[in-house]
Amino acid sequence: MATDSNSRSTSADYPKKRLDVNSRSIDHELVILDRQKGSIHQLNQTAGIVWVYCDGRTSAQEIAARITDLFEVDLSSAIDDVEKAIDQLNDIGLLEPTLNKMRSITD
Amino acid sequence: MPPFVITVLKTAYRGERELDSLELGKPDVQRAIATGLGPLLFRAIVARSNACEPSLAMRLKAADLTARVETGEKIEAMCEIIDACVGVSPPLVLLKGISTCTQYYPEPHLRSMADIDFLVEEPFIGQVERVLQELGYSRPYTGDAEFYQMHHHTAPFYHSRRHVWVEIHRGLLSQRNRFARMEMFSAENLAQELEYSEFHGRTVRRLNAELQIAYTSAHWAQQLQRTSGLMAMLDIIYILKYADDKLDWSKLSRWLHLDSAALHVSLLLRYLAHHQVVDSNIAEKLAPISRACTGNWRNLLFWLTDRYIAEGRSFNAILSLRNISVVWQTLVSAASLQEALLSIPLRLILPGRICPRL
Repeated sequence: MATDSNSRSTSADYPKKRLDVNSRSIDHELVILDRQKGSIHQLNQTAGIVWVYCDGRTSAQEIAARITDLFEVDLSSAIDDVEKAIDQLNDIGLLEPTLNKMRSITD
Repeated sequence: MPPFVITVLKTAYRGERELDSLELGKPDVQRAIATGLGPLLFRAIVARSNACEPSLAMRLKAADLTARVETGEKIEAMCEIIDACVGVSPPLVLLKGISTCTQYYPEPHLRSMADIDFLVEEPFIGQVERVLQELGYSRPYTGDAEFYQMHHHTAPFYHSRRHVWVEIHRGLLSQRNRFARMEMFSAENLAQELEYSEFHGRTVRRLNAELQIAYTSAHWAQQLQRTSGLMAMLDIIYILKYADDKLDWSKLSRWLHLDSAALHVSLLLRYLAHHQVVDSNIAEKLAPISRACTGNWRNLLFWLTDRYIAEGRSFNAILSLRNISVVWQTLVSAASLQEALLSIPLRLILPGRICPRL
């Protein structure tokens, strides 16, 4: 459990999207096709924006700051939303596994 | 009562009300999705909240979204290739799904396609292949080099990030295909029947509607094609729906009269008219050429189409994929039903060049 929580916080710090999935904006919502898992995900607006910035170089804090630029929302609410979105993206396996997570598998 | 997927196809031509009397069950939805008709079925039921269980509606929506992403990726890939080929070759000739989905379909994702197909004049093939390599495409397998020299397309390319396959065609049909010798598919006729067109604002060439119908139908008839066979039907339906008033039926009939093999090219049109998927007067327009492949001969081919393409029946030890393919190919290549029936047992016993296709 400790490793999982570590991996999530690391992932939340500099989240990186998987590059082997295909994404496309359909009717103003981002849709992600994960061929590896045979699944398709329709992201809400916040999750879609978070996904776009998940490049492994932008921190969750920075993503939240960009969201405050786009919408009328205070920073602490934006941070909550971004963390929730990152958790969701992690849960459905759309983010790159973190180093900690990989270690927990090999250990 | 026609097979369920035929009723789904009917909605493309006649509208969603065709499904009103049907209560969709899990097998229906599974069958539609498995055959690439999930998006079309979703389109037909999206306005009816009680068309099926919510979980089934969700599966159809997932199929629809998947098709939108996949088709969008292929269209984007095609645009990139067209742009990169400017000044390298004459405008590319779009073939099959990538051509029909943007020319005749109300929404391109309704036409599922395994790959992108386009035709390039032989002297430019090498240069276009180099363009594809520069764009990040590679050849996962080259197979038998001799095979691809004789084949109507070169070894397929694959783009690993886009998950897109590309086939560069040098001709419409393989030289091994008996329909390839027909005058309408000759290089001379092809050059005459191509038309300039647009693809997302870019200049391309496409087969005109008459040649598109002939090509799709010939491709359909050459083999019993379980999944792509239904997409060929959908292509024909949308061409007839959106181009019927502009179609030169006399030209099509003239081509079909030139070769006895061409009689089988009309089979697909007649199958769709038989199930009233399209207007029955389509068959009347083809009446002058329908003297062959009629009666039991035609019924046998329709029965095989219903059973193995539309219903998707499983094969067994006797009615195996190989044996059914032998029967199909013998029926579509024979000059008469008697000749077919006499040669089927022999072809079933002897190993032949039958290439079953799922």
